[in-house]
Amino acid sequence: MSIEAQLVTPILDLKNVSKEFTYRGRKVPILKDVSFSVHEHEFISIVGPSGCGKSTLLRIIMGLVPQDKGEVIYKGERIQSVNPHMSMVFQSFALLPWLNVVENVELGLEAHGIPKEQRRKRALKIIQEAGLEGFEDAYPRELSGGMKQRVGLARALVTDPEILLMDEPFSSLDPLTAEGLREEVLKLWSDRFTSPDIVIMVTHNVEEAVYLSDRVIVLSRRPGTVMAEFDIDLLRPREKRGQELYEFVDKITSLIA
Amino acid sequence: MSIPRVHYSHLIGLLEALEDFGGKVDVAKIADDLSLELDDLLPVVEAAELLGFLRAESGDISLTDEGLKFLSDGTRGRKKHLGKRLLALNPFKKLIEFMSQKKEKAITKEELLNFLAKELHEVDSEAASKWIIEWGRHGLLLRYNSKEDRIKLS
Repeated sequence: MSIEAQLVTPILDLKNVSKEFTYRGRKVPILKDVSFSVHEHEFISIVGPSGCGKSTLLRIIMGLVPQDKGEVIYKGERIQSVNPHMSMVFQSFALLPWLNVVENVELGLEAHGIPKEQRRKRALKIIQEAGLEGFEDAYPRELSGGMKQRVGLARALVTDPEILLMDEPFSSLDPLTAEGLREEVLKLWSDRFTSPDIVIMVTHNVEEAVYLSDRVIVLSRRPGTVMAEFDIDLLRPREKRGQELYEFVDKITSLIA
Repeated sequence: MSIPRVHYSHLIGLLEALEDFGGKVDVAKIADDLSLELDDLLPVVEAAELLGFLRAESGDISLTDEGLKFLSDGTRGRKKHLGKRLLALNPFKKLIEFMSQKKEKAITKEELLNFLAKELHEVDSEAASKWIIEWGRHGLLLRYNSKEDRIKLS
């Protein structure tokens, strides 16, 4: 590919993605003709009212759930199974209670067929970066919510993903913990030498979406479809309580409400 | 007994928010901004004060030089910095001394509970032990393996 082509070719391209679920014999459309592109080093948030299919969309992007119509194209190729260049962070942390922190993090590597010794080495390195040093042998029940989500983050990052998908990553945390962890994720993403290069986050918190993102995609009520896209052209580091930020928040909120 | 009794993530969240406010703010204002009740915020303020990262004066809280330095540290730097601050607190200092004299510098959970009750006159040793272990881990002072029932100096 020529340099010019690389500049304009998106990393990820969603084209008319639609999805239905069958509930008691009735078909319920969840997503309808969702299209958008994601470019190099972007932080994208997807917001929308509850039940608009945000989380399903994230699962379709990763290849965990197949779409009924449309396509997900990653670097020019149609994705038909789980994309190994992506990892997911879940709202509920999704840790295994009988495994300690190192073992939970290593779990992220198991599917990648990496030898045991190397797994441990990579897990320990990412544990340090995620601020979990000292907690290697702790079990999930010994951890606060914030630390659990750090483990979730470390497990997602241990595979060195190009794209990090986050499904409401801060919404089960208390406000103070969320405040600190958002900064941490921003730091990880800003560092161009470490993964991830792209973050796609689903959230119902518009303020959080605007503060963190380069672009906010607004989905409509079910069936979810792209209602609007906002380029958040504010310089970083951003003023969290700034007037400009709130103008975006107001515009987006009035669309959803 | 003077040990922090809030989660580390709360300390970080408060300090980061305080920095956003330019390092000094009315405590009611920051509580409001973070949608927290004062009852929930004050223990965090106390913990930050105990560690020397924050000063509370007539309704205002402000970052100390120590607090600013802590925030500017990287992930690993913060842990080391925190470890030093913890060692300045009597309970941690005494516990580390006690453990240093032990074989393999390790004790069981039971031994920790006894130490807290007898040496530090802690009323609720079970609760205190959890905070000691949590902060000891954060400050890279202690390691704890609950399966082997072993608390060890780092």
